[in-house]
Amino acid sequence: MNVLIVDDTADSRILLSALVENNGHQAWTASNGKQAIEMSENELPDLVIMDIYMPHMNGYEAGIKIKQLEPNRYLPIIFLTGSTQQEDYFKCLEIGDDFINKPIKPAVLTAKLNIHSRALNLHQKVREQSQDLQRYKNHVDQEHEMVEHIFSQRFKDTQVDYDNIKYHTSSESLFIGDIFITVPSQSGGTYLLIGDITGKGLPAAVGTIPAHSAFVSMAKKGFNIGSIAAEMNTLLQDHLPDHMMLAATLIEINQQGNQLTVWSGGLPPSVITSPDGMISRTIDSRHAPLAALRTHEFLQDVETITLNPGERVYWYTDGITDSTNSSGEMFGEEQLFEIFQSPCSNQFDNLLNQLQQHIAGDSNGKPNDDITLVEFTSTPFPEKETEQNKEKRQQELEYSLPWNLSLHLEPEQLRNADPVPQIIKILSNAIGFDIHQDFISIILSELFNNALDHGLLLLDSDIKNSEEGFFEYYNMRSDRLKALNEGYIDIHIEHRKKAKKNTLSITVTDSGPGFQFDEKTSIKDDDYHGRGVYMLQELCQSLKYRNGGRTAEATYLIQ
Amino acid sequence: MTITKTKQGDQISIRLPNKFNADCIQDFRDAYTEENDSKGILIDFRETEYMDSSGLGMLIHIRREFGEERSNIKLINCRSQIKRILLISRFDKYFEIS
Repeated sequence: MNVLIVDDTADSRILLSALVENNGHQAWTASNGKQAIEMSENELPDLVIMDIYMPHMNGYEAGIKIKQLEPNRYLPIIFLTGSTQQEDYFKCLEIGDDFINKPIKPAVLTAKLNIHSRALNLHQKVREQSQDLQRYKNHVDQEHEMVEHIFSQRFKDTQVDYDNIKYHTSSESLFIGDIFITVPSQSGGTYLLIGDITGKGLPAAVGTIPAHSAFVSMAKKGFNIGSIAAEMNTLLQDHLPDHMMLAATLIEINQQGNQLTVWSGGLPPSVITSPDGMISRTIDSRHAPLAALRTHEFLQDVETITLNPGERVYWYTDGITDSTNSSGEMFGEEQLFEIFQSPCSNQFDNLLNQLQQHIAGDSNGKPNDDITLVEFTSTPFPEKETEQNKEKRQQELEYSLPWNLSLHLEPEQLRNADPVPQIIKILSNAIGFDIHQDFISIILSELFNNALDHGLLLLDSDIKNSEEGFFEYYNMRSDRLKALNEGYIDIHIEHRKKAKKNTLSITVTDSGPGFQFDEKTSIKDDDYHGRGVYMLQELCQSLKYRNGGRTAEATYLIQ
Repeated sequence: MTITKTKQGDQISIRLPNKFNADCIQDFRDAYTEENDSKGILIDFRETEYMDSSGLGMLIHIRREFGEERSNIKLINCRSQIKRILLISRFDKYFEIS
C-alpha cells in the first residue's frame, strides 16, 4: 500500500513513516492538509493517516477534499486524535474511516494497517469483478441487439394484416420467448405459427431461426401442416440444446375461413367461441412440443376443424394464465375461460384489459412471461387480386400488341412430348396473360387432347362409359400413341384486338376423319366423358367446329 | 411431384400433384384401391394448379368407388381457378369443395 502520512510535527512523520515501512508499505509524507491534497492530486494513495489539528487546513477539511478527488474510489482515512471526547471519535468516523489515539502505540498502528490492507484488497477484487461484469453485460447487450436485428430482418414481413385476425404479442416477444408468424397461402387462405420457447435467452433465439425460416418457406410453397411441423421438429432437434423445446401450434386456414388444419404441440388448449360469445369447443394440444421427439418418433397427425360463420378461435401462450398479480395469484385458466364464456362485443380487447388490470398491481406492472393472444374470426379471406392490380393490368392490356403463334406437330413430336406445357410457357410472357394462364391452358389442353385422341388415335369416348373402361381408355391411348406414325395437328393461337376487346383465339386442326358434332352438349350426372366439351363451352366466349369436325376454334375473352 | 396418400385413423387424405391430368390416372387409382374401409376421403388440391377433364373423370370414379354420399369425399384447399373448373362442372353437387 502507498500510505500518505500527514502531520505538521516532523517527529510524528518520522515515527509513522518508520512504522509503515516496517510493515512492508510505502510511506509518503506531507506536513499539512494543503500539501496532502496536492500530492493526492498527483497520485492517489491507498490509505491516508492524518493528524486533525494542523496549520493552514485541518485534517477534516483536507480529508473531505481528498475523498472528493475520486468519489467512487475506496480511499480509507485514519485520523490521529489526542482527544478522548466521544464527539471527536464520531467526527473522525463520519469524515474518515478510522482513528488512532495519540500517543501512537506501534502494535495498534500495525493492526490497523493490516485491517485496512485486507479491506483494500477485498475492495479491489470487487471492483475488478464489477468491471468484468460491466464488460460482460455490454457484450451480451451487443449480442442481443445483433440477434434482434437478425430476427427482425428475417421476419419483418411475417405478420400480415388481415381483417379477420387480431393478435397481441408482448414487447419482449420478438426474440426471447414467443413467436407469431403468418404466411399467406397460395389457395388464398393463410398459415399461422404460434410458438413459445421453453427457457429464454440467446441460444433459444438462435436455435429457432432455422425452424422459423423453414415454416415461412414451406408455407409459401404450400406444404401441409404436418410435414412443416416435422421439418421444424428435425431442425430444432439439430439446433437446440437438449433441454429446450418449442411449444407451438401450426394452423392452416382455408380461403373461406371455415376450415382449419391444426398441428398442436405443447401450447394451452385453444378456445372456439360461438357468435353469441359462448365457448363451443376447445382444441387440446395433441402432441409433445417441437424438438421433444426424435425425427423417427415424430407424429405428423393433424386435426381438421370446421367452423361455422362468425365463430371465433383464440390461441394463447401460457404467459396469460401464468401472469401474477401483486399477491402472486396467477390469472389462471379458470378466470380466462370465464371471460370467454361471458358475451362481449370485443372479446379480444376485453381480455387484454382484464389481464392488464390483473397484473397492474404487480411490482413492475409487467407480465412475468411473454404473452401472445391471437383471435381468428371465421370469415373468408379477401380474394387475391386487388383493385389496384386490376387497373394496372387493364391499362397494360389496352396498349398491348396483337400477335399470333402457329405450330405444326408431326407424330414424332406428338409421341415424345406433351406440347401444351411448352406452348403455355411461351405464352406466359404475353401481356395480360398471367391471370388467365390456367384457363387458357385447360382450353388448349382439351382441344389438343380431343384432336389427338379422336382425330389421330381414333379412340372412342364411349369406351369410357363403364367403370373399367375409363382406365382401359387411357391404356389404349398410351399404346396407340407409342405406335403413331402418321397424321398431324396444327395449332394456331392469335391475340386479337377489336373495339377495345382483347380475345385469344385458339384453333386446333387435326388430320383425322372429323366427327359429327352436336350443337348442344348436355352434361349428365356421372358421365365419364363429355365434361371436356361442356367445360370448354363454359370457359370460352365461343366454341365452334368446322371443316367436318376436324377444326375446333375456341375464343377466350381476356379482360 | 407425385400423388401421396396419408392415413389418419379411418380417414385417408390424397394429395394431388401440380397437374391433375391423364398422367396421374394410375397413381391416383393406386392411392385409393384397397382403402374400402375408409370412412372419408380428403382430396387435397393444395399443390394443384391445373386440372383437365380427365381429372374430373377420376373424381367421378373415386366417388363411384366410395359410395355417393356427398360428405364422404371432400375436395380441400382448391385454388380459385380449380374451384371454378369444379363449379362449372357442377361438382359441388357431389363433393364438398373448399
